[in-house]
Amino acid sequence: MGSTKIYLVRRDCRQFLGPMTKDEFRRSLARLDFGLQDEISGHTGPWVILDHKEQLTEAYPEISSLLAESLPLSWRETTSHARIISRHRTKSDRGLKSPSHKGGGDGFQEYLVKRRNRNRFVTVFALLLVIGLGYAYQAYLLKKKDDVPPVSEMQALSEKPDLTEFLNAMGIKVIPYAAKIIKSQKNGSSWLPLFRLYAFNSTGNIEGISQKILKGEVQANFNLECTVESWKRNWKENEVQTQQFLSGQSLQKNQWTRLLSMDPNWIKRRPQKGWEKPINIYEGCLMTADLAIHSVAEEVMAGRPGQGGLTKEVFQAVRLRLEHQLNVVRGLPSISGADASANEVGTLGMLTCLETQTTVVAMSKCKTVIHSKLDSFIGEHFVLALIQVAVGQGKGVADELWKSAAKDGAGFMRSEDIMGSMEYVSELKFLELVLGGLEIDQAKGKMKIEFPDQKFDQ
Amino acid sequence: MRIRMAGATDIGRRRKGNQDSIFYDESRGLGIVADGIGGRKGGEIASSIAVNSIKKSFFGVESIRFGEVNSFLVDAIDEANASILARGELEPEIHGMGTTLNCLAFVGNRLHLGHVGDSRSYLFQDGNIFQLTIDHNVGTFADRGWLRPRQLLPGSKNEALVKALGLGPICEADIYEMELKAGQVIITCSDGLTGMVPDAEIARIIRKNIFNFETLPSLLIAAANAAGGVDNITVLVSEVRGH
Repeated sequence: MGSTKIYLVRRDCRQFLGPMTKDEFRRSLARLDFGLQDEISGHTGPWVILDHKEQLTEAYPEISSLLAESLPLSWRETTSHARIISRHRTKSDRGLKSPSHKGGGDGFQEYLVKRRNRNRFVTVFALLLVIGLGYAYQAYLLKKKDDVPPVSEMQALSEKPDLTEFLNAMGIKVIPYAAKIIKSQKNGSSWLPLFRLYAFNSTGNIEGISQKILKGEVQANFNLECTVESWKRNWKENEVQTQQFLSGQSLQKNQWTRLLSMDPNWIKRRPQKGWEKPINIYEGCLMTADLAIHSVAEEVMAGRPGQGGLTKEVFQAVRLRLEHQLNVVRGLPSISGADASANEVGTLGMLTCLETQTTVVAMSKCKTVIHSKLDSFIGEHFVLALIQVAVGQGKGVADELWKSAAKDGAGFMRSEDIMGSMEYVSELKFLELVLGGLEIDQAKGKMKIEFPDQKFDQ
Repeated sequence: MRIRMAGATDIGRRRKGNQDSIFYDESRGLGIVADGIGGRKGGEIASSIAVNSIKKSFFGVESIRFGEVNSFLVDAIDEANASILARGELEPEIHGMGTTLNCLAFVGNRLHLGHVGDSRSYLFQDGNIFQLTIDHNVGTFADRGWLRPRQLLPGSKNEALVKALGLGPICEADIYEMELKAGQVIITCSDGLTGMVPDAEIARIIRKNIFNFETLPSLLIAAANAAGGVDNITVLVSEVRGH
């Protein structure tokens, strides 16, 4: 094996960067060529996600240390803090306890000893100075942190219909101390929903808070990056595939197609702890995707194709889909007026159409002609829409038409293709209860007991 | 980039037939390895359909735009999957046959790699070896948290495939992309090699014999057979040689 250790980085589970040396890795990291959600592997070694500190430290300690040095406090908090303190002690102790050299000779020897002593004195002095400055800076930061407004003040601002004031206040008074605040055991968890509100209304990132903390618990196969920049980059890289998906030619898996395919009612049923607005990471991702698509609106509408050749038609389809998804998640009317008819074409139009119907008969008009490769995909979404028809119905017995459609479609929810689908354990249970003969409100009651964190009542 | 390729397939020491298929064409920068699923009838037919179908897709076009290689690869794999299913419909005795697939397309200075199943591709550079593909089997999916314990059937084996061509109408392939550098070697193989020979040993054999490039596939196959040869073994090596 070559003497220099090299590493390969896998970005977004699809693109390889490298192999690269540790120094090249450092430079690549600084250029943001990849993020902490990406994976690294060394010679014959396992692939480890950079954000998984423990596994990374075990498999590639040198990379873990490099990240600890290069990244904000929140990443390194558990890996390097103690080491820094002990290193200070060791060095200063050694410096102070060293017996001073007595002059053992004259001439050149004496000069050497004196020079060595002087050097040692200068080193110890510089070290003490650095430590002193470090403590002073820490004290300064702590003092500044005290200037952070109380969480209740920001909560009040976050409840206003217009978030401008909240975003400005957070940006100036809170975000610079985000790393410290999130570490604080006393306040960290009460600030987290506000950090999320700020992040998913801005870039999807907060310096000092890792993506792992910001995104919280996510379904295992939903490994989307969800920053505005990543959406833009992903569009550029998957332009052709995404357009093929939108026009119904083929089923393509990339960040955009996965997000745009998501049933907003599925998202709405799953509010997560530690989240308020957005209610969960999935809504957060929709928000940053919406910001990304709007950031190129001016260019596209002026007839200058946006990033990745985004045409007006595609832009419009994606914008409307995101608007529909966000509205449904927030309990608002889906899309109205001219936008509604513009939104009835292609794969996304078909999905939106299915998700907005209130009867099985009305749903059947949404099945537009789409490539047969998408049959399972459509089947899966048809059943999700059926479930929503029943949930929206409120009470009573599901009619025979509903039952027959649900029976036919239930198989699609158990697709072997687990990478393409979200988890439908609770949806399958609901189907089972209603098909088993329970009235809809009884089934909802049972769901409340079996899945207390999910909302099957709206 | 110029690509030099060498490949070989072997029945191994325990199997009665060879269900693996291989194809490579240096001039077109195309390499394909498929491993028919054992335990099901028609594994060798599935792997052969997969290879021929991909070949047909690539040979059926004069050129592919750089930006469209990945989607072309996805479509070619979809076609191969559809061909396997269609053949299964026609011949009930082989209905349900399946295969893994690794398809390498060297275009310009990039490698585009389509992957389904547990055949693997590795990158060898400066004595280091990196597994490029993620095995689509129960063990790997469970390790990565993509399969939760409640999704596993009782008695599921770690090596059981989660994805393969021929298992259903939708087959989502992993598509990888990598910029190439002269001196790199891509090793693509069926699990008959990786189940028998550890990665470090594969790297050692390549490092030691890189100057006899043509012999690498047979040396790796010999190592797998020496370790027991319980499955068919197929190896394709592709060396990046600069302009």
